[in-house]
Amino acid sequence: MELDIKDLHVATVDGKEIVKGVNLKVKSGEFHVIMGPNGSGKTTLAKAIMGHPGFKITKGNIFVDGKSITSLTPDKRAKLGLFLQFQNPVEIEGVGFVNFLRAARESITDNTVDIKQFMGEVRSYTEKLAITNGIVGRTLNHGFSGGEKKKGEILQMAVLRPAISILDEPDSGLDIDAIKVVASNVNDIMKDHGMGAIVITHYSRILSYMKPQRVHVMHDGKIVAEGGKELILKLEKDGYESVIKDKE
Amino acid sequence: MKQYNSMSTEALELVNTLPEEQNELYKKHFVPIPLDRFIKEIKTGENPHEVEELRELSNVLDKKLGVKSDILIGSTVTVSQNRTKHVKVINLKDVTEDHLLGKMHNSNEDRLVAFMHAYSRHFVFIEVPEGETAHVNLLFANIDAPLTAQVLINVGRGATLDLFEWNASKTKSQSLLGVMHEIRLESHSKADVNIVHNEDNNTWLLNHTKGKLNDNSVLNANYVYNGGCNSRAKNEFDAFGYSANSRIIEMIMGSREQKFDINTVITNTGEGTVSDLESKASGSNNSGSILKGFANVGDNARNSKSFVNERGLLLDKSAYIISIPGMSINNANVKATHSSATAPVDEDSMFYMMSRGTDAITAKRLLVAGFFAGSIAKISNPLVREVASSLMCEKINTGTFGNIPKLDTSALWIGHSYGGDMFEGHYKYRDRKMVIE
Repeated sequence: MELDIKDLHVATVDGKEIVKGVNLKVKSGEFHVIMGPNGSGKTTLAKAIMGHPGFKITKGNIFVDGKSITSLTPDKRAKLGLFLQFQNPVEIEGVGFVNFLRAARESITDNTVDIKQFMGEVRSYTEKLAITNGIVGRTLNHGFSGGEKKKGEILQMAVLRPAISILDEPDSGLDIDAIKVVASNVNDIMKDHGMGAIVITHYSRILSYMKPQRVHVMHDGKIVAEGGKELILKLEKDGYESVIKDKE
Repeated sequence: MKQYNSMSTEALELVNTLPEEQNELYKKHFVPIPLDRFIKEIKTGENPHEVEELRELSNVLDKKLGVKSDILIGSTVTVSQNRTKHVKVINLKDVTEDHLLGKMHNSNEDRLVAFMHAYSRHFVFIEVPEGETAHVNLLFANIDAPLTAQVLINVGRGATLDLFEWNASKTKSQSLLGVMHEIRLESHSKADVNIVHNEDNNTWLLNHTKGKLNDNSVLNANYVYNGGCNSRAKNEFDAFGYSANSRIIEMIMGSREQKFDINTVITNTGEGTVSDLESKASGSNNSGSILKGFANVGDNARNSKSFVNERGLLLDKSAYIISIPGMSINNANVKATHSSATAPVDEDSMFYMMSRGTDAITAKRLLVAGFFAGSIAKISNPLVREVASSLMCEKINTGTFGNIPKLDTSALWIGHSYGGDMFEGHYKYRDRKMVIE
């Protein structure tokens, strides 16, 4: 699968432009990182790719395998193989986590889930992600700690097996051990299923456990710098200002 | 019967106008039932074809949902399928004052009751003697004529009743289904009363329940309002005995221009009593619901607790849900709360769920199921939970009501955050031996 974002401009429904011409191409199996200071448009870009109704594309296009997806609803984009790990997953009281995940898996695969096998898979990922309180029997993100929410998102990603995942700050709010667990699981899923990933993050810590191939720096709705892992080291050393100034 | 009939003319007028209601919002939105029109259509003779229709309905209900009805009550006939010593059905022409003595309320103020008394066609008596346990399944169906009936329940000291009532219809034109319940719980008795409404779109529903609870008795009354074009319910529960406990759950699922007017009063008369009313409504497709819950705490209800909790979930912009919680507290030493909230489906929740691949209908079904999940989980009878889930799924998936849906328990599979025995007796649990830890 190839995700191709061309000259993308995204605005809020009341007309405020946030993403101002982003170009990005990601294939399954590739590992990209988007870094940037607060308010640079990273999360808006992620939500726009997934089709959030609160944003409109004012210019440009998003292609999956050569076909525009901008008119597709989020569920159809997910069925194509896209996945968004939310920075702040919504809490939905009363909706069982596993029940929801089963419905999502059935929708994506167009097949009825074998419950026994499915539960085994969920339990296995629950253990791998060290979700000590378990997931079975709990409602969707409701009453989850910050760490459990992040791990719950990775669990969903593992079970739904997307072709390309956008991980929006998978490390925020996690302690050092949890960051290692999340990074290791993302690495495994990429390796096992050939998944491509776009990791959005402010900090380089999680990236020390991962092997990104391409790093993009966003500022004021645009990608202002691109490079390899060396760019992360530069950002770590000199901060975003240095990269933004270089561009200016 | 004369004493009841004497009030009927006045009652008929008042059922449409209800001047005793003071709340302006309620007066503006209540659902009037054109009883004068339906009264003329109440049949006095028996239509033998109804027996076949009732049996067929009962068979489908059993086959699809596993509900085995003991007594079938149609517009003009009744059928006893399973003999149960606790139930007796008497036709209007055979009922005498002795049958009704002490079992019916007869208050000049209660004109709706008076009306129902005057025009009831069938009388179902459920008597559970002291210390005994009874399970009773009733099927009501108005078949091309109005059905008016009363269910008079008396649960003896220390006795237990589990009642399941399915209300259906088979009509070609507009009709009425009116059922009144009078429930008396003697001391230390317990009753689970589960009433499911799934009438067709021609049916106007008039429901009335009056419950009286003696010392240490427990009433769990669960109502599922899913069918009917226009529904009007007036329910009153009085915990008058020491430490009596009533818990009322109302679930209303509105669609396709259905109107629901659910007016419930819980009263704590006795000391140490608990009354808990939980009303939830979801609405779509030009439906409208009015939830009027009222807690009444009497002078002598020391150390009592009252809760009125009303919630609404709007699935689209065409529907409305009006909730009017109220309280009257006449004793200082009590705990009482009331709350109300109605909101549209959360856009971010929909986006989150759809971003995982679930289509909009599935996402809404899960959200509605989640909305009702806490209430459904409180219902102790697993059959009722499954029925409620099946009706809910059918309505969201197809937009229809009035037919017997296929068993769909997907909405129930939520785990044990609402109690470890959520799956006990569950089809999925039983059939697949899946233990959800």
